[in-house]
Amino acid sequence: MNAPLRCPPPLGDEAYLALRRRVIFECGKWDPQCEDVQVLARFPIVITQQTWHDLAHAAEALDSEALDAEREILARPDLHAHLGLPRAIRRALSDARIADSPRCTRFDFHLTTDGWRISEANSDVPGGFIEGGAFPRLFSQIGKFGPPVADPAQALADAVLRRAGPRIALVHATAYTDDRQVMLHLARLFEQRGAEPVPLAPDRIRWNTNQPADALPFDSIVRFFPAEWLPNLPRRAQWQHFFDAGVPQTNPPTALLTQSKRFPLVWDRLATPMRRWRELLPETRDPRAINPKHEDWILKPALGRVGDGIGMRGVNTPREWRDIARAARRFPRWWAAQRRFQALAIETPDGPRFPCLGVFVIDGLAAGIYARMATRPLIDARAQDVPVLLNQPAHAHCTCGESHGRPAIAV
Amino acid sequence: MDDRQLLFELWTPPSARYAPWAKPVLFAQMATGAAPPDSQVSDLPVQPWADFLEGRTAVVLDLPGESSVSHALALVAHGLQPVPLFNGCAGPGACIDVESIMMGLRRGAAHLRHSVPADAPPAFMLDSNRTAGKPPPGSFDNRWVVFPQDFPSGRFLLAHGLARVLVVHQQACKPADDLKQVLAAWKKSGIEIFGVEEARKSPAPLPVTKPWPLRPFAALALLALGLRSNSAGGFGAKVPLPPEGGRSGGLA
Repeated sequence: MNAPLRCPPPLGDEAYLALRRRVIFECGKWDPQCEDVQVLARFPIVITQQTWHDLAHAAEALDSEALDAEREILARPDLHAHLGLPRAIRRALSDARIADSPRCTRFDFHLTTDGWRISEANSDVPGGFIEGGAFPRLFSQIGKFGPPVADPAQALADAVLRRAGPRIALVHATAYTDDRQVMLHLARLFEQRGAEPVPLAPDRIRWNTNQPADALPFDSIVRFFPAEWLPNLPRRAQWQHFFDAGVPQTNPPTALLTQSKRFPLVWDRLATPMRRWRELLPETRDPRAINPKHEDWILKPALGRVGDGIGMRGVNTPREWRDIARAARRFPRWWAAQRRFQALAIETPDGPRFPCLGVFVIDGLAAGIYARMATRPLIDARAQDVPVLLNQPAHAHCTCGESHGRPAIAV
Repeated sequence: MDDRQLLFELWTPPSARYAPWAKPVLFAQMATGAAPPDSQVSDLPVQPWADFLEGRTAVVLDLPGESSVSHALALVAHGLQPVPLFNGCAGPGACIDVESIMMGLRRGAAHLRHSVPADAPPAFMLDSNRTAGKPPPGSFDNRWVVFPQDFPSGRFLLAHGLARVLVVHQQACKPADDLKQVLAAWKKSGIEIFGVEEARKSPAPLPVTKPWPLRPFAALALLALGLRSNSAGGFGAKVPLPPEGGRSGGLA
């Protein structure tokens, strides 16, 4: 795949501040600053239609394989113990049923010396709906650039309502403003479509276990509460019912089976060949099977998020690396070792930056890009959010004749 | 720009160095088109410790919400730039009162028309009640905590001539654990930390105990215990018990 990425000159102060204000007040981006980093970039990444085509094709193939693998692993409890999942989750998985649900996964693509590679898939509760949808849309309205590729939040709202009725539970940890802003953004989109979204905490759902599923007071669930934290809820929350909800759920907690960074460790025991994954995800091993002193391995917590706890020798501070390596040595079943790829920086108005393009796949179709970039080849909380825009008007159909997501966005 | 945005801009003038750190959460949740309050903040508090500031001190107002607002407004006269860091959501049945803070922010806007230099030191505004109590059943759990990422780094403060931080408390100067993490990071950068009760005259060095390190293996243990990372990468409070929906009713 060729991958031209271009960063045009940044917005001036006045235009940037106006944009920032709109993203905050019109789209609910309430965390625009992280320590000394202005989270919202002043310039976009401009890509070609061909690059979007390449990424979309790859992401859709990865998604298809992941869903096949998830079904297969779910039926193989003997594999669950290899994935670094808490015991309570493994018990719940043994009774899980995958409802026919709209699925939403984000695949994080990096530009490397070997072309595009992914570092991970966020298949449980991927984030970046505002930053990958509303932010690029508002940026493109400034007029100097083409449109965004798609809006994942809009695509998710459409997908949920295609599958079920209008009563939607938006499940999240209500005390977390960063999570709540996403749920309120989705709630607005559902309301615009005539639906009845209810943002609420996971223990507010009353599971009417003695009644048929259609007696539940909602038609579907959008969960923004990581599945591995469900066991921390009080017993009365009956959190196990998220595993057999009986209504569509985006995403069902069975997504943890492919969210785990140790997912590749069971591939050889699956019938699903995982061709695209093997091609795009660097080799992954149990931490006990590597020499951690070698710089060509990265250590990752099996269920880590937002770059937390990732160990890259020479990129982390020596103390961080020492602590991470020690943790992986003590609790190897909770960690994975991933062969390090040589990420490429791109030139930006702020200097060289390492980009990560998180491609959403919703209901099988590529549905937008949540891009971040960092000064080092590690995307964590201090990375900047960058809008991705096309260098030309989007076509309803790609050059391959297929439609990837919903590229024809009105701006 | 609607009135919420205008208000936000009054509190965070684009030219102000520390304006980017201001949290827009409460401003964004204000009703649009609501009539402006008919009263301003009437009695700004006396600040007997204000002489301590001397132009090279950042202030953290860790006071009950409305009090934090009025102290910040009073500090404008001393050349400080108020920086609202209130990060709790509003909602029916909220267990932490943010409505009074929102009203204070609206009322206080009139005081902000006096210009403060762009490079004015910041007065960070917190609500000391942000983690107060355990939410009763039926309430909307809108407690919140601060993280080091919510503030400028110590390196940034030092680079801009701020070598000390004064933490203002209502009573005994005992920072909550979340704020301790912030102060410890600053102290490690070489910033002096002082504390004062709001009615006292003389600030004193504030001993900042080293917080429990949230290094990876500890972080994993925290996850196992139910503590979680937020999207900014920090670690927050335990998943609230019992949390509630932000709207009345919820799902029965």
